[in-house]
Amino acid sequence: MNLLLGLRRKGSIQSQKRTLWKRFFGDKLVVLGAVIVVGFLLIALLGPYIAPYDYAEQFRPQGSGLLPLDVMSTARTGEFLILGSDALGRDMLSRLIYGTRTTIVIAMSSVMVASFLAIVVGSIAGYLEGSLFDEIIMRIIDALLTFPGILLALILVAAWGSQGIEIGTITVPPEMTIAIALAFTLTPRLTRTMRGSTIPQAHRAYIKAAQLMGMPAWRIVIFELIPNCLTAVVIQAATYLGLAVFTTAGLGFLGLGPPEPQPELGKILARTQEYFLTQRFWHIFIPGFTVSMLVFGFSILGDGIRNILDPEYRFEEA
Amino acid sequence: MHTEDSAPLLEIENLRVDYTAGGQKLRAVDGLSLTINPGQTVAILGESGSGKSSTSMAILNGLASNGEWKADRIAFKGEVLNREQLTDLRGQEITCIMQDPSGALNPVQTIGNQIKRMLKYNTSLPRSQWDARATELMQLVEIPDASSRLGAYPHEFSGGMQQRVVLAMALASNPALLVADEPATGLDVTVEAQVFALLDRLKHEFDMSVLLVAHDLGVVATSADEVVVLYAGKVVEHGSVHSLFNQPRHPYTIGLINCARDLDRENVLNPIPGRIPGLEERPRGCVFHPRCSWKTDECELMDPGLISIADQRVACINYEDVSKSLYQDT
Repeated sequence: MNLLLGLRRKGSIQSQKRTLWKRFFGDKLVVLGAVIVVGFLLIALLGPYIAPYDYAEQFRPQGSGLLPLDVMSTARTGEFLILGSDALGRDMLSRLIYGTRTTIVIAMSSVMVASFLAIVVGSIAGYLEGSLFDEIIMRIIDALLTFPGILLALILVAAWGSQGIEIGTITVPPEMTIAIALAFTLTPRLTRTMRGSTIPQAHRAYIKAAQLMGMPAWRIVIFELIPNCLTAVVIQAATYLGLAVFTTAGLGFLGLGPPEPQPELGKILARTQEYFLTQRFWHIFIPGFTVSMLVFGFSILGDGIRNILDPEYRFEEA
Repeated sequence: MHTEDSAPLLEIENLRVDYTAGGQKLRAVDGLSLTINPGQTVAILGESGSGKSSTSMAILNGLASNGEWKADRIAFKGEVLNREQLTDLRGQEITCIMQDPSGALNPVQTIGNQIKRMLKYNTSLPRSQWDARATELMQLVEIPDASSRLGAYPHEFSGGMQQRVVLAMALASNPALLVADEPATGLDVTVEAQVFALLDRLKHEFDMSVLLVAHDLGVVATSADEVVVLYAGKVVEHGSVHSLFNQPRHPYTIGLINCARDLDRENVLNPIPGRIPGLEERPRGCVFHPRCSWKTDECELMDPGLISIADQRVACINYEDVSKSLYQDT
């Protein structure tokens, strides 16, 4: 609510809320995106309850051979597999459900970590514009931006390993190391955005008033500045969700997802592409469609949120 | 109220404010001395560019990043302080209200929270009493329906009401000195009058002094006890509001009073010719001489300094001639 107030200061809060909801539901594409995303979130959340089988359980087809089970086929032990199995005979539907869960967890936590870092660092850099801290942070960001995003994430995951890392007694799960690596690629631009929206606010009279009233600087940044500067960074983070899902799946596809037997959409896709040049070429479309829908849903929802919150905002991928 | 022999609340001697621009130092305020006694309202009067806001911002240590200030002596309640110690008094002993009340309030926080924040940081009041005190402060500044409006956002208030909220925040710590930098600029005339009436009442209630920065003679005449007239960074005249308005001695003050709107006077506007010199074009000698109709050759060479006459001080070497030409008939 604070965020919305910062944007539009005329009219009552109630009518502002109404206008925003109207704009949200007036845009059919956004509603579609929201439906897709909510659907996937429910699947991810309810994964263990709706998945028909365990994601690691292997089923053997009737007869012999190691080929994956077809769609709508029955395993030797009598289980009915709606979407068939992968090459190791594991139920495709269950793996997709659990894989969606993994992918969404990684993508969302990476965006959250990146946004948090960007908000903290960007607001301090913006408040201390022109200071040594600001200069150092901006040069680090310049350096990080010289790498293509996925390459940087790849290097980091490869360096940390996809097994998760142990720091003292704390074990960082593999999902988190991947999420942090991804966050590294998203943080620089978000930080710049945050710094950019902080600078004009930092020169506003209420910040000056707080300084003149003897408020400590940290207090001014956290409670005065940040709540007034979130709009742009939230919009950008929303548009980054689709990108994060895409990159997570991309890393998984390249073999840098969480370790076996844990499913991840990109990994599942990589295992099905082996059959692309055989008569089982359609196999790849099952996980392929899932990844596409997930990215599509997040992307149009993110774009829609951007359009609703700020119609004048032009987001450019630099 | 205060006794005559008690120590002055704030003394500033020889205040200088410099701005660095384009590699050179420009002096915005040159040698201002100020004494504010307890319970007194001292007004700094001047037009745009005279250095009046620089003076108030220097005292609050809130100059722009290219500005710096120095003073030969700073004393608060009789105690000599350095600049940092004076800065530490901000928000507690010294608070301020600024020009634009709508900008001075955080747009995304309720005014209740903003007042309570002042209580949290600048008083030792326990958390349980914040709500009651915030309501009380809102009532003191005459905001109707105080307790229910604590949850309102700044944009739901009118300009005059916003300035009252800012005033409530400034009063939260029972300050000894309130710096009011053109507190009613941009408000309607009727609202302006209300704000000053309120300020006057609260001054007595809180037993505080006010440093009022203003360009409006009417405002100064009604609410100040003592007036410092600034022109191009220099004090040109300093005296009680009574003597200054009844017997102005500096040509600039005379000009200011002459160009004030007055229904009784025949010629409605009588502006001072020329304009205030910029920071980089301050003239030698008396800063006012290029616009002065009593100018003599000496004025171009000599900085007059402040000359004391009775309870007034005036920076004009020809003040006797000026006074003679004006007041000999009466």
